[in-house]
Amino acid sequence: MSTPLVSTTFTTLALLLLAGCATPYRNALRSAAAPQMASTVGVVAVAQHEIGTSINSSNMAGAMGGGLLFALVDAAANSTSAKRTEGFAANLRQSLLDFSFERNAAEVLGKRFAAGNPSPVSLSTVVVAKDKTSNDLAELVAPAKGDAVLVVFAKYFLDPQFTTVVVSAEVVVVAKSPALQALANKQRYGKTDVPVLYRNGFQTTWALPAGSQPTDNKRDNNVAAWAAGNGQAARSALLSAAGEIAAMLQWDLGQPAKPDYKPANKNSRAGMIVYYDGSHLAMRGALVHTEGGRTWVQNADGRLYGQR
Amino acid sequence: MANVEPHQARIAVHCAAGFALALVLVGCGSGPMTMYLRPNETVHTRHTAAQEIRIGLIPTATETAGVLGSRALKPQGLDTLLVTRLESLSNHQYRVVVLRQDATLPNPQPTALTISLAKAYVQQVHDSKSGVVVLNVEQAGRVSHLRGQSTGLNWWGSSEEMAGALTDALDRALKQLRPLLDAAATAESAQPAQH
Repeated sequence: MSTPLVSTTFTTLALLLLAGCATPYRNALRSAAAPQMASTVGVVAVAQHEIGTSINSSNMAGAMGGGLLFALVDAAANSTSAKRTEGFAANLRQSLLDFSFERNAAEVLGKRFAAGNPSPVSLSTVVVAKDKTSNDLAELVAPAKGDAVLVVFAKYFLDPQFTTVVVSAEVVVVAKSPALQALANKQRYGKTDVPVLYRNGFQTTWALPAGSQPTDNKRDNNVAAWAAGNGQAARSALLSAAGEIAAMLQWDLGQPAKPDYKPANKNSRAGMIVYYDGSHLAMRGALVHTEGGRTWVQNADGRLYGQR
Repeated sequence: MANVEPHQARIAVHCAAGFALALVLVGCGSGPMTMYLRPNETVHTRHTAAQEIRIGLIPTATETAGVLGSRALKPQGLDTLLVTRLESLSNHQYRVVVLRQDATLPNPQPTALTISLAKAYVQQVHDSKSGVVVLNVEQAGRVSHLRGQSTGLNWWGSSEEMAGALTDALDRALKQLRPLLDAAATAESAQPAQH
């Protein structure tokens, strides 16, 4: 469903109500499933054609206690903000015209999950699907040949200040063979109940390299820094992000289920920035892994966040 | 019963009215949304200039043009719109003629410019929509990428609104074609004098 202005306010309200629920989002892969996943097909699905943008949304309606008038003021402010942000992004997008994030991500995923990798899953092939969302999961899985299908719904965008590349991914492993279907949980995607063996959410953030970050932190200069040298910094960040998502996924597929994923003690707590469309939140989670100067922090609901 | 302050009542009424409006106007769409891209009749101008600028158009299969919410946008009539818009760039000096070309054929007809559609999509940016069109233009061995974009509030999420954003983006990209057409016209009109 599209999200026009008139429904945004009510969606936000619903999300605020749902935010109180702390049920884990993560659905761990059962150990009994792994030996039966002889052939698994990978799919990288994206619903965008170029790198996305985000804005710091206006929330006057929220601050003033609601009202259609304030909602309209917010909408006008957000629209102006979106127009400016999209204008800034044009320069970077031009420099990435020959760069396909989804094809690169598929290649990275294929290499990471090649036969003999340490995770319980190996991918026989990885294909790309354009303009698909999680609502299309059943449609994506249907033609795939294999015992299971691992689908990555990826989004890639810049933070509102253009200092950070953010890549987020929702990963679902769907059972195809009858034996695996018996081990799966039915979950609703779009209008179809899908036999899910595993699912989790991931996000990774990559800031401009220290040497190339403009001192004034102006958006046009930040975009220019990403775009310089045919988008070299942006290409590198996107490839690193795809690599880290694949690495986090590989690690997470081997992790058991827990009732929740809260930090075990004070020492294992770590901060993280979670990016949403229109806002970002500083949260705390459990530090679960460090690798090459990067840390992986797990939210209480099981989602993983990779950051410096 | 609890007392209700007048401002609280106003907020409640606004919310209820907005919610009802949302339910009536938005509905619960699913499946792909077809954007019917219709050439605007007002841009059909007949020019009788003697000079002809031939543009080769390499057709591109554009099955989907982005996603709005969870609905893929299917553009219908994008090729025809592009041809119409290109022809509408005719003026008193030259007449634009569009030749559909197949890049795989060995001897395409000679043209001043060759155009192909690199990108055409509509995306969401928070509660706004952004239409983007990028054209690859090849002229005398030089390739340029003309980008047009149109960002505005996503009022209703209707297919007409999305088609409008994409059409506007196309028009903005094509505006940048004018200097290239003028240059081609000048170069072609200078050619006989050289012989």
